[in-house]
Amino acid sequence: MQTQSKQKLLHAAFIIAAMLTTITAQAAEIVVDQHNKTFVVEGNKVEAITINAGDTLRFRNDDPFFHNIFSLSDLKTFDLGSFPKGQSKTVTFDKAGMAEVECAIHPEMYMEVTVK
Amino acid sequence: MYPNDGQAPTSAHVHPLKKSEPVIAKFRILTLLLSAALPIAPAQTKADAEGQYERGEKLFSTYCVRCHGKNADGEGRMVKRLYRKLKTQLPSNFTLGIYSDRPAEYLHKIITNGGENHSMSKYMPPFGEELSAKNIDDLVHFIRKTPEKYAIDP
Repeated sequence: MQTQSKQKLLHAAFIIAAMLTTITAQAAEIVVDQHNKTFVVEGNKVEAITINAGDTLRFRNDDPFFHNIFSLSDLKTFDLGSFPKGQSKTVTFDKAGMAEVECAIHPEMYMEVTVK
Repeated sequence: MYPNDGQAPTSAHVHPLKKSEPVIAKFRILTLLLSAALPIAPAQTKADAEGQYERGEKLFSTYCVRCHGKNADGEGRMVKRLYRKLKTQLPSNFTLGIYSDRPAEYLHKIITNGGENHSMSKYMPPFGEELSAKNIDDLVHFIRKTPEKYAIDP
C-alpha cells in the first residue's frame, strides 16, 4: 500500500513539474526599444503589441536622454521609474487583458499591450 | 614690520599708488561706460507675469498633473492608483504654499534633475532634457503662484 501511495505521489509531482516546465518554456521576453520617443519592436515602430500571459516586456532606452515607464491600467499598475540611455527595465504580465503603457517624461509615448 | 622680508621699502614700495592711479582711473571710466551701455533688466509687468503663469499652467497640465493633480494638490491619478499602495513619498501639494517662498533655483533644480537627486521621491522624473530652461522657469513661476489660485478659502 505504502509503495503504491509513493508511486502515485511521484507521478503527481512529475506531472506538476512537467506543467511548470511547459509554462516556463512558453513565457517569452520581448524587447521594446524606446527610440526617438517611440516604442520600437524588432526595428518597427509600434503603438500596440500582443503578448501571452506570463511574458515579460523589457523596455530598453535607446535614446540619448532619460525615459520612464508606467501604467495605471487595471490589468497591471506599475511605475518602473526613470532610466538613462542603455539601461532597461522589465515587467511581467501574468494575466490576460489590456494595459496602456506610457512614459512620464514624454506624454506622446503611448503603447497598448494586449495580453492573451 | 615690512612685508618685504623685513627690509625697508624701496621707492617702488613707497609710492605704489602713484603709478597705478591712471590705470585705476581708466578702469573706473571703462566700468561706467560699460554699465551705461548695458541694458537694465526691466521689472516683470503684470501682463508678463500672467503670460508666464498661463504658460506654466499649460506645461503643468501636460507634464505634472498625473502626479500632482489637476488642482495642484498632490492628488493625481498616480497617487490614487499606485503611490499610496506603494507607501512611497507622495507628490507635493503646491496649494499649501510650501514652495512659494523657496528660491526659484531650488524648484528649478528639482524639476531639471528629478526627485531622487534631491532626496525626494525617486518617482519624480528629471525633465531637464525634455523641457527648456525657459519652460522650467514658467513651471516654477506657476508652482510658486499656485496657492493664490487654488488655495481653499478657510
